Amino acid sequence: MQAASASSSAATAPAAVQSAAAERPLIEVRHLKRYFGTNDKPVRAVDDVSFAIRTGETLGLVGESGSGKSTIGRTVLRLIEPTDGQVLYRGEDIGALSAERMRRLRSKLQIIFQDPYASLNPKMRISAILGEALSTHGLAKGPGERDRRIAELLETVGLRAEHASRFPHEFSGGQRQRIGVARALAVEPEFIVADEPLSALDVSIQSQVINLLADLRERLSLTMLFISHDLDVVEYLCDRVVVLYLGRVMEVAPTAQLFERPLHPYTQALLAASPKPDPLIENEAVPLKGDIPSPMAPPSGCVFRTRCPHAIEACSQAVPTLDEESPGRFTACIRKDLLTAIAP
Amino acid sequence: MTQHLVPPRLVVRNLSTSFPTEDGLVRSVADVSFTIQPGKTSALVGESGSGKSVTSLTLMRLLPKTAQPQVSGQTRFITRAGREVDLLELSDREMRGLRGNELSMIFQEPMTSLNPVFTVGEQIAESVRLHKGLDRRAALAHARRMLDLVEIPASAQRINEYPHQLSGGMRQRVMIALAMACDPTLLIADEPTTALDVTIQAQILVLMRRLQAETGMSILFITHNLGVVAHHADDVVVMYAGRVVERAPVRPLFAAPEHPYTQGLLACLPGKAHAAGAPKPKRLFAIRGQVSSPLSPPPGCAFEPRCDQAIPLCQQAMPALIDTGPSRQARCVHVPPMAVPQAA
Repeated sequence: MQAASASSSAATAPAAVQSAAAERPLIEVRHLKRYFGTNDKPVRAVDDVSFAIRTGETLGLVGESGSGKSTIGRTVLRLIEPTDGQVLYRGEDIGALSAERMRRLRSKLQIIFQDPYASLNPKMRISAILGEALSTHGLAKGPGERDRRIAELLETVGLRAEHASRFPHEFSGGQRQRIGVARALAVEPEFIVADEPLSALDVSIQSQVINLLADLRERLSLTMLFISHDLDVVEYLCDRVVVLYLGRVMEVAPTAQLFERPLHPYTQALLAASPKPDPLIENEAVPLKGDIPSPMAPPSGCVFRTRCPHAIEACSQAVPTLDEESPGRFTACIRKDLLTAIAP
Repeated sequence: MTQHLVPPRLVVRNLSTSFPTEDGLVRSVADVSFTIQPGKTSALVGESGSGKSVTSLTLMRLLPKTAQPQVSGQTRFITRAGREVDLLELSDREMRGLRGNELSMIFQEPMTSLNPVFTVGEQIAESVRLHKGLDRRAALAHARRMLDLVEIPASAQRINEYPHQLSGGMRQRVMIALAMACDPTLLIADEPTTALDVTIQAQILVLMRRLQAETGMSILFITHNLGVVAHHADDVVVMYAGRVVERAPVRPLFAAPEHPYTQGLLACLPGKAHAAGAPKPKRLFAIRGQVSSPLSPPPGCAFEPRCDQAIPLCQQAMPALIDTGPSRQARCVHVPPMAVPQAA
């Protein structure tokens, strides 16, 4: 569509957080929609979502099941096509690229999947799994170069070169996830979507993989979209957070500010509902009532209003806009009176 | 206070469960001992393969016969009527009289534990007809009261619905209604909220706590989520590779874990890594390596290959689970015993 229109008019707000002002985001998502199913009653998995990721930034995407996290992750990489809206990579609409250009771009955009058991081909040796990525993108010339690169990749993720000749079943869950990370890194990407990369792992293994991701991000200056339902991990790993509910953005904020003072009633409820591993922290918050509505029949107006403790009549009238409340902090809630009430 | 005078609801002593496999005998549960007080919640914590679920299934005598489990040890369960029984010694018939009646269980995945071809009302009614001898009409009326008890809205309509018509949270409520139908004295909850979203998890946990306060039942709560443990358990039993490595009341456990595994488990949580307002640490603590194969356990302490505090003595023999303080036990050569009758 309008491929060349993305010029210096750039992002939503002139990123007020100091230096980042003039910088163009590496990834920009504009009014993204993805509906599934029939036209008369579509499942609105993602409904008008916009955000940007700066170079070197790790953006967290949080929300409960059905919030559209994974669909966004896949649409950003064009693994599924959006129903509407655009994804820009360095200002270029990737939806408008030819198949050939897209294939070449794929080496820059990679993904780590949730389930390290399902995402590695059980019939391929590790050398073939990693080698395939290298040869597809023509990154290793000759078998000697290829083997050297595979050994290097395995060492990067904390495995050993001799592991290359093994099959996936010979590894534990944590090791497989390292192989998944190595495969994503094989093609020297700039941007990685990590789709719940920890949730299939045991706690003691999770922290190994968190450390690995944090190290690699720094060493290779990666930009990351980190999808998770685990708020503690997001708080630890992400620079900014986008909170989703039923396919819509509820709140966007720098991580520390979000966790210190969540603005949106949904974010407040989400934070209150996740128990902190400390028995001395009293949690007397009343849990949200009811279930997440069906994305086939989302509530009118604000999608969260059916469970929101602060909902009023007006909430059902119009979809709230995502407004900037303070520099870098956005929330989609019409109850501005609550904001001043809880402001420090 | 007077707590010590009340006999525990359940005492488990030296419970072991082994399974013959083609590669040899696997000891899934080894020498496990713990107690559950009336009206209290004991949490069984550990990572996958630590033996949590096998422990609960052994106690419920629900292990499949085809797995040829070899069980040893004793239990002492005090029934509603005050009779002392050993769950492992009862005849199948006597056990059937207790199961679903005095002892009930809820599982992680409510969809696979409910029968898809019966309405939820029929499923709840079945257990009261069986155990309480109610007729069909009275049993259905009871089922309706149970649905009200677990706060399922529109119970008159829901009672005639099938499991697939309910959301995940609703199904888990139905599971709880089923488990509560005969007013159990001990509820075993095996990862009851793991498959649920956090806001729904919070609802279910509040419900379970309310039911416990109202009925005085004991709960054995099996989970890997230390946040849930911190807020919903009175006592904690930490398992590693089939053995209890530490037992303590919840607050002392989180305040001062004694076993290196428990220490590591708590230290590697991103939510525990820094206090509110304090800067994030550069790296999370990680327990290195992974659990050794149950087919070739290390000669001494099972945690020794991953333990930062290991000394040569650790490789010689499995340390005993010793009393380290009032109602505290640990299985580690570094932890001094409670009194000081002898110097090491």
